[in-house]
Amino acid sequence: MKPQTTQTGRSFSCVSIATLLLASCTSGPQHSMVETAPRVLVSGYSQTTKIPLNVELFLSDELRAAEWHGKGTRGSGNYRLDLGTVLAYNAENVTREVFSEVLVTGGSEGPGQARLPGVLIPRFVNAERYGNTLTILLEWTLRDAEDNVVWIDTIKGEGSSTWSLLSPTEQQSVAVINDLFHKSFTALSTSRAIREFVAKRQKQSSVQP
Amino acid sequence: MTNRFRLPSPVRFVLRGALTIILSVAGCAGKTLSPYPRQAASSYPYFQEQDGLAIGIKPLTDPQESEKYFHTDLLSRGILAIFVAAENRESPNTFLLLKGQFTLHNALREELQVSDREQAGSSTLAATQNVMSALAVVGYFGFYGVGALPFALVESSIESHEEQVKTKFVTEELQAKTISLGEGTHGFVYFRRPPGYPASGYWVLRVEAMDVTNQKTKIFDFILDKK
Repeated sequence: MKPQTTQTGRSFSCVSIATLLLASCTSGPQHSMVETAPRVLVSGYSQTTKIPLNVELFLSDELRAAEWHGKGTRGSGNYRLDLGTVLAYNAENVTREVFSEVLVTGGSEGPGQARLPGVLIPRFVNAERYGNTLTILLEWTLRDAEDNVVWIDTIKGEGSSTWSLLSPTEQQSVAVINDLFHKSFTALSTSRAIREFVAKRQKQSSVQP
Repeated sequence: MTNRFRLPSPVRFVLRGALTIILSVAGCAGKTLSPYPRQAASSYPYFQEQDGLAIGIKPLTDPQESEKYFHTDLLSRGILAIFVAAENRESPNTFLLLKGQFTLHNALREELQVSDREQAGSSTLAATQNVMSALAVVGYFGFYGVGALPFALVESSIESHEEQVKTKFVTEELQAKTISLGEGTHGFVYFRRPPGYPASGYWVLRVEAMDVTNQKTKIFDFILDKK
């Protein structure tokens, strides 16, 4: 009986020490971690004829301030990923890939300040991360000069990370931005509503003397 | 003679209990939720077509189905999720579908607007978290003798589950989209569960789709029964 009691006692001591060590690792002051998504420029868009439309691209302050907030696990604090800069940067780039002429505006004056035939407005809807996948929802709206909706689509981009030397956040950010803007390019360049709007405008201008 | 190490039965009981709860909670958290299956609009229980614009809907009232796709019974937690599929089958015009154009009425014409996702999501998450927190409290007292390790695992599983449900709400929600000929859209709209739904009287889901070509609105009224 005595050896058994001793062994039980030893195993209890081991578990207690491990518990104390683990508890010391997981406790402590909560802190916030802030990261900025890498400023990648998405490339490799397929070659298409640019849509012959002079558009104003309105990049709002809300878009430029877009971010994802994550609640940290025990002891790891909260987490914030700034997405606005890379979204605004690529929104301008993809618009220039799709339309023949682009003028970028922003600020408190709101969209429509350039008085062009079309106003394109990207809006950050939301971002979520679960497991190793980051998801971003970006809404695109094209309005005419009279402020009527011509076309709206909400694009869902997803980016996952695998084990590598790069940080998971960096991998996910690069992948999600690539996916988001390739899908945005396809949606913009293949939209039937946009093509019909442009064709109607061209027809109207050819009829007018 | 034999000096074989054997834990006392109370310790074995506690360890066995701990292992069972850790495995079940960890298993739950690791399970990936499959996306809600997308079909043709006409294949959903409620379907209407007007001038080439077809809309099919399905309220998510089956607890098993809700568990399968959201990991929780949404209706019992006060949320009515309705899956919507819309297609422009043969209209040359373009229609705009926004979640703000969905309303739920009862026989007395009392109206419920689509819940903001944050509100709907947070109430579900709060309810889900309560269940999981209760489990954690049981775990805490049960495992006190063993130490903090199982509790830490249970707690990380709660956060993982919460994030998963939240992500599901965001990524499966119906988003703003114009629908031209040959195009379609799909996703969930969320309402706070009306008092007494579905037992008390009938409910009508109204969908207003705007024709952006001529600025006219098409109204679809779906009378929801218990099918």
